Amino acid sequence: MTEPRDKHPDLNELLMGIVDEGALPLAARRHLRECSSCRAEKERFEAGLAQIGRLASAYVPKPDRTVSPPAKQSITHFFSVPLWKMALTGALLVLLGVPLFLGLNSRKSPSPPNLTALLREMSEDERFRGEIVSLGQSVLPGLFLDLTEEPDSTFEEGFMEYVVPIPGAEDVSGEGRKGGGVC
Amino acid sequence: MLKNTVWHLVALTLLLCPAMAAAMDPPPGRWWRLPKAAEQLKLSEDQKSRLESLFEANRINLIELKASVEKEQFRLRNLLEAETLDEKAIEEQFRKLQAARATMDVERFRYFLEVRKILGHQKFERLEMIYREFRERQLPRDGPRRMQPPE
Amino acid sequence: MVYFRLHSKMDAEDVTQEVFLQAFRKLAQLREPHHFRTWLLRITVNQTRDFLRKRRLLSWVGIGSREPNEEPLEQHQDHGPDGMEVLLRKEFWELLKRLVGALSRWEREVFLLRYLDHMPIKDIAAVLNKSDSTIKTHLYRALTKVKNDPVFLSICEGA
Repeated sequence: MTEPRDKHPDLNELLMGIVDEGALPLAARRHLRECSSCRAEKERFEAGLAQIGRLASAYVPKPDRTVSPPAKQSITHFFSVPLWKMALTGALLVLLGVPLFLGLNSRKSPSPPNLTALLREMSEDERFRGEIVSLGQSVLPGLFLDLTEEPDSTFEEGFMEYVVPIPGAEDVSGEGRKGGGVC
Repeated sequence: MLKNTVWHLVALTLLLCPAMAAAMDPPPGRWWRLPKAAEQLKLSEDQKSRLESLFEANRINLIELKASVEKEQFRLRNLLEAETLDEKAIEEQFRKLQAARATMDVERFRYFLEVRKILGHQKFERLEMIYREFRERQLPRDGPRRMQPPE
Repeated sequence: MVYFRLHSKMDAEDVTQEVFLQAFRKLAQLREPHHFRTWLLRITVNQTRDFLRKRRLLSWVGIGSREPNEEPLEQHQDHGPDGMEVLLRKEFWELLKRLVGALSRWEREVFLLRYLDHMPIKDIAAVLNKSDSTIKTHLYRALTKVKNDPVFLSICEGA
């Protein structure tokens, strides 16, 4: 086997080649074509990624329900109801409504907490705080944030980082950068 | 004067440690209104009332401060996208943006600190423990094993 | 696609129904019919994200109790081939959750769209409304983390 002239790509280049081979320098691309061990390493990683996809497709459960289109809403023809019927209904409602209203007000029953509204507010507040965190973490305008590490601004993760700091969680820049020759 | 200096030092620390700044937040919204939260933390009516007032004031402040940061960011972006770069103006605008961010971060930190003061040491520890338990439930404990697709 | 993100069959069915309901309602707003697939996928990604956010908050409501919609193990917990299959399936989803849990939000989304939903970079960019180069950056970062993860190495051994 003839040794390829160019040096073996490091881990960075290998990963770049998997993401977009066209982005690799010409020499690296040529090397990958010629060096069987480098090509095997790349293909091994790609096979692993393909394996995840295969397993996911194989293991996803079959749905029990089919999607049903929304039911057509029946149009109520308000003006087709006779006027005397409407008047009677209105009168009955007033007659019933007044005692009910008085009855309810005479008791000091505590209203149950509106959980749905509370959760909606919490969700909106979480979104708002996510925007604050993004603004606080990067001085760059939004255009440039696309290329920076955008924080996953959920309170769960933010709070847990505070409570139980994960050692080295922020520092991924050193992983596999220099000196990670693959052959 | 000294109080201002202290707050500025806090803001500087937060700017230098973005992870710490991001991690300062208690749960979102009015979490103390959740029945389970009140039950497990046994919050008094006074504590809940103080949390309500704190939340309202803090949110109003944050809305205004966020708008300030966004304005400064917009101005910086315009300068960066100009055909000819005015470095002096950009540096000046960058400093203004940093100052606006620092003020916003101080307000966030103040909220966190006030929550801590209202809850007191024990209840705050309890809140931390609840989250820790909650997080541990999310992660699987088993180590990796070989996976094969079905035949 | 939805199941890959929620890991719950019931929730995936609910969200899928919601996605199509939204699509029905907003179909008139779709200006370019040839972008239908991208448009539908974008609704799916957004609906899933909203659902996850709500689920997290609901877990906080039930402090100290099990996560809502946590599905119980299937009945076949015996030593037969069906039982093995069920265990392997459960284990796979737990491992995958752990693997992608280490990624940031955008890295995770791009990784899932690329390798589980088998979408090309261009389509991912259209769905997430980002540039091709941004998607490549996120994917590159995701692969950097995944490459040395023991969970991934284990899956690789079986490939």
